[in-house]
Amino acid sequence: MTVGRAEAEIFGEKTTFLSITAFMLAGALALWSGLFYLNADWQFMTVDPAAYHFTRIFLAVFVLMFALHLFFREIVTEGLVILYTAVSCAAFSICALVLGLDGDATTDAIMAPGILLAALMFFHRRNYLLGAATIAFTVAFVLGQLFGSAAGHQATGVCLVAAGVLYIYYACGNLILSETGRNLLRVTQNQVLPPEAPDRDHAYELVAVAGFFVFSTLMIQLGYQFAAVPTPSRSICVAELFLALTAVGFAVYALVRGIVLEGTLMLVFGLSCSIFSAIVLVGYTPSLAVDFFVGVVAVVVGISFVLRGERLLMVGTLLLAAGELTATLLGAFVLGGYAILAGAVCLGYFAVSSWIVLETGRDLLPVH
Amino acid sequence: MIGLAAMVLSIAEFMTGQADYFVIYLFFAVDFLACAKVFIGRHNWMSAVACTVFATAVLLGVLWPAQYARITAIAFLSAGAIFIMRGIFALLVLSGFFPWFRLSMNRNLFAPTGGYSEIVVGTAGALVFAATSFFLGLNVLEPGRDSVEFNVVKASLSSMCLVFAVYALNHGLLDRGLSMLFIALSVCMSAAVNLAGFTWPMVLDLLFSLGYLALIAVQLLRHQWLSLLAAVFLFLSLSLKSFTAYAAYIPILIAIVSMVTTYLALWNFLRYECIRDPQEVAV
Repeated sequence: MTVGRAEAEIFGEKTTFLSITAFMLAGALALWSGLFYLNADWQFMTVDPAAYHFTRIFLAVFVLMFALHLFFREIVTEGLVILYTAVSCAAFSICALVLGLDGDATTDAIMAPGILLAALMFFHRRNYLLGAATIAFTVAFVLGQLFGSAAGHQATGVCLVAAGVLYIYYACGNLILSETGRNLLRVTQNQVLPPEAPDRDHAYELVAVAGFFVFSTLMIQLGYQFAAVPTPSRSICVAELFLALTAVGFAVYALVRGIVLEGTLMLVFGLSCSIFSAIVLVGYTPSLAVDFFVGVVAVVVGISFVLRGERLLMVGTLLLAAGELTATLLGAFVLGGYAILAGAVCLGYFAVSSWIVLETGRDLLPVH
Repeated sequence: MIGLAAMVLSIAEFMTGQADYFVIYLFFAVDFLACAKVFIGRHNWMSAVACTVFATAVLLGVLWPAQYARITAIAFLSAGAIFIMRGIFALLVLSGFFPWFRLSMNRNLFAPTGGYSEIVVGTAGALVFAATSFFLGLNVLEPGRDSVEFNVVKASLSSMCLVFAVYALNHGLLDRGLSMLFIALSVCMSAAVNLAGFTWPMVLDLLFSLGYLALIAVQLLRHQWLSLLAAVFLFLSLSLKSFTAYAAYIPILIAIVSMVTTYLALWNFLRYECIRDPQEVAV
């Protein structure tokens, strides 16, 4: 990890220090969102909804930028939480501001397991404050899906405010600790750090964990759309577009760092989903030709995984191929959707397994 | 500085038709005089003369508003001509036309890499930050000037400030980076919201001000009193916006912030330029 002179002079743990800004901005974003949710029922402040969505998109772009910054500093777990925060907020606000639609809570519910897992990782590192904040954030993601509009609004708002306050408190406390060496706010830092090994491939770790997590989230979204939604929903497509572009970003990173098979798969699928979403958003009917192409490429990549001995990746990729080809050639969208969902489970399992190895050094979920 | 001054002067001329932003012009005059001193220290006489011409013209423009446009035009033309002559002369020297003449070297280019980011943030970053604060103060001071042009300037200045903030954060200068980030985000977002035709939610300023509480604690524990003063006033200026009863005090607070930041930036600038060994730099 390349650090400047100033970073060498910090007090406390370095990963915590590097993620302070990101959590401060993510906290501000969560707090701002939570206050707006609560204001809808309690009316304690005057806020123009358009201005709210505009500022939320603006902040989300900055949060997204800091998520990328964390990824490039090889900080995967914090990066994923920040990334999902930005994607969720940006997708909701773009839906409201540009399309005049309510956001779809399904996307948040799909992303919630990933954030929950990150919270567990924080608890494993004995960073209890960050873990608690992330748990509150996860609950906020799920509540919108579970409850109806009024109760769901208030519960989501309370959880978002709690998460935002805790994130800001954590960031402020660690800022004081890192800069002065005094733990004035009694905050926690990462105590158990990911094990360092001389032969670690940081690029592959980033692609295997963050890349495949985003990829499997995207697959779940597409599978859900194929299996359960009769006509493509524009609300879901906004979130899908964001996730697809993120997957394309990971694909480009993978290809640049020489990770060809995974990079190719993510690139083709990410591009296909972005094209699909963009076409739906501008009001046209998407063509299935690109999906057919994805199916063919996935077959080739799947066979290559066989030759490399990566059985789990092979199964996930071939299920994706089967789903895409079934939907495009036979028109059996429900069947294809379930195949893609099954593939997403395989690739998600691979990402979680790699994540646990990265964080704990133990192979709790073997993939071979 | 030249770019910033040109932008401010043009906008002022465009909007008011005369030089009436005395404080801003004083800000630029002091900055140009500091630059002139640095160039004299480097024996770079032509650039020093150009900076002095700028500073004098700015002051004359304030003292003699009727001839402001003429003075400014002459100053820009003459200083521009000097800079061009200096560039041509430097090119000729480098091409070997005057072998007996040695160009003054910018020895700061040889500063160690680790400290360079601190110098950039402490001088250029702080100056842009100070200029942004000035605009924020003016905007609050004269609500009637909340026009498209003013918001464009605010957005451009705060974008520059954001770039420095991200640079500082990327180089581990967390306190300085965050200090710039909050105010720049607030200014940039409010400008964008105003330009888009929406009403800026004041609560968001209150939210951003929370970050300054941590920065106040940091500066207090480090005994950095001037930075502490700036952080306290930034906190107050953002948090008081939501309470209209105290809104009248905001311009004064922001003016103090600008003065403190400008002083810190110039102090860093002069200290860095005037010391012998770049290793001694402590921003």
